Amino acid sequence: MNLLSRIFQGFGVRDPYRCYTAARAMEVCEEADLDLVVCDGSLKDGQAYDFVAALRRSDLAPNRFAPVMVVAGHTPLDQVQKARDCGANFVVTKPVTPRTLLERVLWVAQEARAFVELDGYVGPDRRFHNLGPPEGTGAGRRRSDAAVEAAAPPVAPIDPEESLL
Amino acid sequence: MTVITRRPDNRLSRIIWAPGGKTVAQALEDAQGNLEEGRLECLDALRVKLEEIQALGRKAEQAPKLAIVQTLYSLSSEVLDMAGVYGMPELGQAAYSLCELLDNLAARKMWNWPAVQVHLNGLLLLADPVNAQPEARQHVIDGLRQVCRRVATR
Repeated sequence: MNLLSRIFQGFGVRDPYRCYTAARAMEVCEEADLDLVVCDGSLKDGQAYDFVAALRRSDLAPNRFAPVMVVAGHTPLDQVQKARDCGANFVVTKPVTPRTLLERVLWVAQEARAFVELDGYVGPDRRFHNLGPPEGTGAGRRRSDAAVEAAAPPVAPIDPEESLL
Repeated sequence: MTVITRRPDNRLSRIIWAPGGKTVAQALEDAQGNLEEGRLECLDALRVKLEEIQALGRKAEQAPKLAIVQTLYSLSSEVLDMAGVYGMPELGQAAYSLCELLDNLAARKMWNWPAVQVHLNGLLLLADPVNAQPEARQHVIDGLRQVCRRVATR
Protein backbone atom coordinates (compact mmCIF):
# COMPACT_ATOMS: atom_id res chain seq x y z
CA MET A 1 0.00 0.00 0.00
CA ASN A 2 1.48 3.36 -0.90
CA LEU A 3 1.67 6.38 1.38
CA LEU A 4 -1.35 8.16 -0.04
CA SER A 5 -3.49 5.04 0.31
CA ARG A 6 -2.43 4.65 3.93
CA ILE A 7 -3.33 8.25 4.70
CA PHE A 8 -6.71 8.18 2.95
CA GLN A 9 -7.61 4.86 4.54
CA GLY A 10 -6.91 6.51 7.90
CA PHE A 11 -9.30 9.32 6.96
CA GLY A 12 -12.01 6.70 6.54
CA VAL A 13 -12.07 6.40 2.75
CA ARG A 14 -13.69 3.12 1.80
CA ASP A 15 -13.41 1.29 -1.51
CA PRO A 16 -10.93 3.58 -3.25
CA TYR A 17 -10.09 2.93 -6.88
CA ARG A 18 -6.32 2.68 -7.27
CA CYS A 19 -5.03 3.10 -10.83
CA TYR A 20 -1.45 2.98 -11.98
CA THR A 21 -1.95 4.42 -15.46
CA ALA A 22 -3.89 7.38 -16.79
CA ALA A 23 -5.73 5.08 -19.21
CA ARG A 24 -7.05 2.91 -16.37
CA ALA A 25 -8.02 6.01 -14.40
CA MET A 26 -10.12 7.22 -17.32
CA GLU A 27 -11.83 3.82 -17.52
CA VAL A 28 -12.75 4.10 -13.83
CA CYS A 29 -14.16 7.57 -14.46
CA GLU A 30 -16.44 5.97 -17.04
CA GLU A 31 -17.54 3.20 -14.66
CA ALA A 32 -18.16 4.92 -11.32
CA ASP A 33 -19.24 8.24 -9.82
CA LEU A 34 -16.30 9.65 -7.86
CA ASP A 35 -16.31 12.06 -4.92
CA LEU A 36 -12.64 13.03 -5.07
CA VAL A 37 -9.85 12.32 -7.56
CA VAL A 38 -6.26 12.32 -6.28
CA CYS A 39 -3.50 12.07 -8.89
CA ASP A 40 0.18 11.48 -8.36
CA GLY A 41 1.97 14.15 -10.36
CA SER A 42 5.03 11.91 -10.76
CA LEU A 43 3.40 9.72 -13.41
CA LYS A 44 5.74 9.65 -16.40
CA ASP A 45 5.64 12.41 -19.04
CA GLY A 46 3.05 14.47 -17.20
CA GLN A 47 0.37 11.81 -17.65
CA ALA A 48 -1.37 12.95 -14.46
CA TYR A 49 -1.87 16.45 -15.83
CA ASP A 50 -2.98 15.14 -19.23
CA PHE A 51 -5.46 12.87 -17.49
CA VAL A 52 -6.95 15.74 -15.47
CA ALA A 53 -7.22 17.94 -18.57
CA ALA A 54 -8.87 15.10 -20.53
CA LEU A 55 -11.31 14.39 -17.68
CA ARG A 56 -12.30 18.06 -17.46
CA ARG A 57 -12.94 18.20 -21.22
CA SER A 58 -14.80 14.88 -21.35
CA ASP A 59 -18.57 14.44 -21.21
CA LEU A 60 -18.31 12.26 -18.11
CA ALA A 61 -20.67 14.09 -15.75
CA PRO A 62 -20.58 14.20 -12.79
CA ASN A 63 -16.92 13.09 -12.68
CA ARG A 64 -15.68 15.89 -14.93
CA PHE A 65 -16.79 18.31 -12.19
CA ALA A 66 -15.36 16.23 -9.33
CA PRO A 67 -12.74 17.83 -7.09
CA VAL A 68 -9.25 16.89 -8.28
CA MET A 69 -6.08 17.13 -6.21
CA VAL A 70 -2.67 16.55 -7.75
CA VAL A 71 0.07 15.51 -5.35
CA ALA A 72 3.41 16.49 -6.84
CA GLY A 73 7.02 16.28 -5.77
CA HIS A 74 9.37 17.86 -8.23
CA THR A 75 7.63 19.25 -11.31
CA PRO A 76 9.84 19.15 -14.42
CA LEU A 77 10.29 22.46 -16.23
CA ASP A 78 8.33 21.30 -19.28
CA GLN A 79 5.33 20.39 -17.15
CA VAL A 80 4.91 23.48 -15.00
CA GLN A 81 2.46 25.09 -17.40
CA LYS A 82 0.57 21.82 -17.79
CA ALA A 83 0.27 21.56 -14.02
CA ARG A 84 -1.10 25.09 -13.80
CA ASP A 85 -3.61 24.71 -16.60
CA CYS A 86 -4.77 21.10 -16.26
CA GLY A 87 -7.87 22.04 -14.27
CA ALA A 88 -7.03 20.55 -10.88
CA ASN A 89 -8.54 22.20 -7.82
CA PHE A 90 -5.28 21.96 -5.94
CA VAL A 91 -1.67 20.91 -6.42
CA VAL A 92 -0.29 19.66 -3.10
CA THR A 93 3.48 19.46 -2.79
CA LYS A 94 5.26 16.41 -1.41
CA PRO A 95 6.17 15.24 1.10
CA VAL A 96 2.55 14.99 2.21
CA THR A 97 1.55 14.69 5.82
CA PRO A 98 -1.90 13.63 7.02
CA ARG A 99 -2.49 17.14 8.34
CA THR A 100 -1.71 19.00 5.11
CA LEU A 101 -3.66 16.50 3.05
CA LEU A 102 -6.74 16.68 5.28
CA GLU A 103 -6.57 20.49 5.31
CA ARG A 104 -6.61 20.49 1.52
CA VAL A 105 -9.46 17.97 1.35
CA LEU A 106 -11.55 20.08 3.72
CA TRP A 107 -10.67 23.17 1.72
CA VAL A 108 -11.77 21.51 -1.52
CA ALA A 109 -14.99 20.39 0.19
CA GLN A 110 -15.79 24.04 0.96
CA GLU A 111 -14.79 25.18 -2.49
CA ALA A 112 -16.95 28.07 -3.68
CA ARG A 113 -15.16 28.70 -6.98
CA ALA A 114 -17.20 28.41 -10.15
CA PHE A 115 -16.36 25.81 -12.77
CA VAL A 116 -15.40 27.61 -15.97
CA GLU A 117 -15.07 26.33 -19.52
CA LEU A 118 -13.27 28.25 -22.22
CA ASP A 119 -11.08 27.43 -25.21
CA GLY A 120 -7.80 27.17 -23.33
CA TYR A 121 -8.95 26.00 -19.92
CA VAL A 122 -11.63 23.88 -18.25
CA GLY A 123 -11.80 23.56 -14.47
CA PRO A 124 -12.34 25.55 -11.30
CA ASP A 125 -11.89 29.30 -11.72
CA ARG A 126 -8.18 30.01 -11.26
CA ARG A 127 -8.98 33.25 -9.48
CA PHE A 128 -9.12 32.40 -5.80
CA HIS A 129 -10.32 35.90 -4.90
CA ASN A 130 -12.53 37.90 -7.21
CA LEU A 131 -10.70 41.22 -7.04
CA GLY A 132 -11.74 42.27 -10.52
CA PRO A 133 -9.64 42.48 -13.66
CA PRO A 134 -5.91 43.28 -13.41
CA GLU A 135 -5.06 46.98 -13.38
CA GLY A 136 -4.90 48.60 -16.80
CA THR A 137 -6.93 45.94 -18.59
CA GLY A 138 -10.15 47.98 -18.76
CA ALA A 139 -13.50 46.59 -17.78
CA GLY A 140 -12.41 42.97 -17.64
CA ARG A 141 -13.44 40.04 -19.77
CA ARG A 142 -16.21 38.53 -17.66
CA ARG A 143 -19.67 39.75 -16.80
CA SER A 144 -18.87 39.12 -13.13
CA ASP A 145 -15.94 41.56 -13.28
CA ALA A 146 -18.28 44.56 -13.46
CA ALA A 147 -19.99 43.57 -10.22
CA VAL A 148 -16.72 43.75 -8.32
CA GLU A 149 -16.36 47.49 -8.82
CA ALA A 150 -19.64 48.06 -6.99
CA ALA A 151 -18.74 45.65 -4.22
CA ALA A 152 -17.32 46.68 -0.85
CA PRO A 153 -13.54 47.11 -0.64
CA PRO A 154 -11.66 43.99 0.39
CA VAL A 155 -11.54 43.29 4.11
CA ALA A 156 -8.31 44.38 5.80
CA PRO A 157 -6.06 41.50 6.88
CA ILE A 158 -6.46 40.31 10.46
CA ASP A 159 -3.98 41.78 12.87
CA PRO A 160 -2.40 38.79 14.63
CA GLU A 161 -2.01 40.90 17.79
CA GLU A 162 -5.70 41.68 17.89
CA SER A 163 -8.03 39.35 19.76
CA LEU A 164 -10.94 38.04 17.73
CA LEU A 165 -13.08 37.59 20.85
CA MET B 1 -14.37 34.24 -26.60
CA THR B 2 -17.16 32.40 -24.82
CA VAL B 3 -16.85 31.46 -21.18
CA ILE B 4 -19.31 28.97 -19.73
CA THR B 5 -19.63 29.23 -15.96
CA ARG B 6 -21.24 26.48 -13.89
CA ARG B 7 -21.79 25.76 -10.22
CA PRO B 8 -21.88 21.97 -10.10
CA ASP B 9 -22.90 20.02 -7.02
CA ASN B 10 -19.91 19.31 -4.74
CA ARG B 11 -20.43 15.66 -3.78
CA LEU B 12 -17.37 15.64 -1.55
CA SER B 13 -18.83 18.47 0.49
CA ARG B 14 -22.08 16.54 1.07
CA ILE B 15 -20.18 13.50 2.33
CA ILE B 16 -17.77 15.40 4.54
CA TRP B 17 -20.34 17.59 6.24
CA ALA B 18 -22.91 14.80 6.68
CA PRO B 19 -23.56 13.96 10.35
CA GLY B 20 -21.60 11.02 11.79
CA GLY B 21 -18.23 9.66 10.73
CA LYS B 22 -14.86 10.54 12.19
CA THR B 23 -13.73 13.71 13.87
CA VAL B 24 -10.77 15.56 12.33
CA ALA B 25 -8.58 14.54 15.29
CA GLN B 26 -9.54 10.88 14.91
CA ALA B 27 -8.94 10.95 11.13
CA LEU B 28 -5.47 12.43 11.64
CA GLU B 29 -4.62 9.95 14.36
CA ASP B 30 -5.75 6.98 12.25
CA ALA B 31 -3.85 8.21 9.20
CA GLN B 32 -0.68 8.68 11.25
CA GLY B 33 -1.19 5.23 12.75
CA ASN B 34 -1.45 3.69 9.27
CA LEU B 35 1.76 5.43 8.23
CA GLU B 36 3.54 4.12 11.32
CA GLU B 37 2.38 0.57 10.52
CA GLY B 38 4.17 0.83 7.20
CA ARG B 39 7.28 2.55 8.53
CA LEU B 40 9.67 -0.43 8.44
CA GLU B 41 8.48 -1.55 5.02
CA CYS B 42 8.88 1.97 3.64
CA LEU B 43 12.29 2.52 5.19
CA ASP B 44 13.46 -0.77 3.64
CA ALA B 45 12.13 0.37 0.26
CA LEU B 46 13.84 3.72 0.77
CA ARG B 47 17.18 2.03 1.47
CA VAL B 48 16.86 -0.09 -1.70
CA LYS B 49 16.08 3.00 -3.77
CA LEU B 50 19.09 4.82 -2.38
CA GLU B 51 21.31 1.87 -3.28
CA GLU B 52 19.84 1.84 -6.80
CA ILE B 53 20.54 5.56 -7.11
CA GLN B 54 24.17 5.05 -6.14
CA ALA B 55 24.61 2.13 -8.55
CA LEU B 56 22.93 3.94 -11.44
CA GLY B 57 24.83 7.11 -10.65
CA ARG B 58 28.14 5.28 -11.03
CA LYS B 59 26.95 3.92 -14.40
CA ALA B 60 26.12 7.46 -15.48
CA GLU B 61 29.62 8.75 -14.79
CA GLN B 62 31.06 8.22 -18.24
CA ALA B 63 28.38 8.27 -20.89
CA PRO B 64 24.93 8.68 -19.43
CA LYS B 65 22.09 7.21 -21.45
CA LEU B 66 18.77 9.02 -21.39
CA ALA B 67 17.04 5.97 -19.87
CA ILE B 68 19.49 5.95 -16.95
CA VAL B 69 19.04 9.65 -16.30
CA GLN B 70 15.25 9.21 -16.37
CA THR B 71 15.40 6.31 -13.94
CA LEU B 72 17.67 8.31 -11.65
CA TYR B 73 15.09 11.10 -11.73
CA SER B 74 12.22 8.70 -10.92
CA LEU B 75 14.12 7.10 -8.05
CA SER B 76 15.03 10.49 -6.58
CA SER B 77 11.41 11.51 -6.86
CA GLU B 78 10.36 8.40 -4.91
CA VAL B 79 12.96 9.12 -2.23
CA LEU B 80 11.52 12.63 -1.97
CA ASP B 81 8.04 11.09 -1.38
CA MET B 82 9.08 8.79 1.41
CA ALA B 83 11.88 10.57 3.24
CA GLY B 84 9.85 13.61 4.29
CA VAL B 85 6.95 11.51 5.56
CA TYR B 86 9.20 9.42 7.78
CA GLY B 87 11.08 12.21 9.49
CA MET B 88 14.04 12.67 7.12
CA PRO B 89 13.25 16.06 5.60
CA GLU B 90 16.86 16.83 4.65
CA LEU B 91 17.14 13.58 2.70
CA GLY B 92 13.94 14.58 0.87
CA GLN B 93 15.39 18.01 0.13
CA ALA B 94 18.58 16.46 -1.24
CA ALA B 95 16.47 14.18 -3.46
CA TYR B 96 14.50 17.22 -4.64
CA SER B 97 17.74 18.98 -5.45
CA LEU B 98 18.91 15.98 -7.49
CA CYS B 99 15.58 15.96 -9.38
CA GLU B 100 16.01 19.67 -10.09
CA LEU B 101 19.57 19.14 -11.32
CA LEU B 102 18.74 16.17 -13.56
CA ASP B 103 15.73 17.97 -15.03
CA ASN B 104 17.78 21.05 -15.72
CA LEU B 105 20.59 19.06 -17.37
CA ALA B 106 18.12 17.04 -19.47
CA ALA B 107 16.33 20.19 -20.64
CA ARG B 108 19.64 21.60 -21.88
CA LYS B 109 20.89 18.23 -23.18
CA MET B 110 23.95 18.53 -20.95
CA TRP B 111 25.71 16.34 -18.42
CA ASN B 112 27.67 17.44 -15.39
CA TRP B 113 29.09 14.47 -13.51
CA PRO B 114 30.71 16.42 -10.63
CA ALA B 115 27.39 18.09 -9.83
CA VAL B 116 25.57 14.74 -9.90
CA GLN B 117 28.31 13.07 -7.88
CA VAL B 118 28.15 15.65 -5.12
CA HIS B 119 24.41 14.99 -4.89
CA LEU B 120 24.96 11.24 -4.64
CA ASN B 121 27.46 11.82 -1.84
CA GLY B 122 25.03 14.18 -0.14
CA LEU B 123 22.29 11.53 -0.24
CA LEU B 124 24.64 8.95 1.30
CA LEU B 125 25.60 11.34 4.05
CA LEU B 126 22.04 12.39 4.90
CA ALA B 127 20.70 8.82 4.81
CA ASP B 128 23.06 7.85 7.62
CA PRO B 129 21.48 8.62 11.02
CA VAL B 130 24.97 8.89 12.54
CA ASN B 131 25.39 12.23 10.80
CA ALA B 132 22.64 13.78 12.87
CA GLN B 133 23.98 17.28 13.53
CA PRO B 134 21.12 19.48 12.26
CA GLU B 135 23.42 22.37 11.34
CA ALA B 136 25.76 20.13 9.37
CA ARG B 137 22.82 18.56 7.53
CA GLN B 138 21.44 21.98 6.65
CA HIS B 139 24.89 22.96 5.45
CA VAL B 140 24.88 19.99 3.05
CA ILE B 141 21.45 20.98 1.69
CA ASP B 142 22.53 24.59 1.20
CA GLY B 143 25.60 23.36 -0.69
CA LEU B 144 23.55 21.13 -2.98
CA ARG B 145 21.17 23.98 -3.76
CA GLN B 146 24.12 26.20 -4.58
CA VAL B 147 25.48 23.57 -6.98
CA CYS B 148 22.07 23.40 -8.66
CA ARG B 149 21.90 27.17 -9.05
CA ARG B 150 25.40 27.32 -10.51
CA VAL B 151 24.67 24.59 -13.05
CA ALA B 152 21.40 26.32 -14.01
CA THR B 153 23.10 29.64 -14.69
CA ARG B 154 26.02 28.25 -16.69
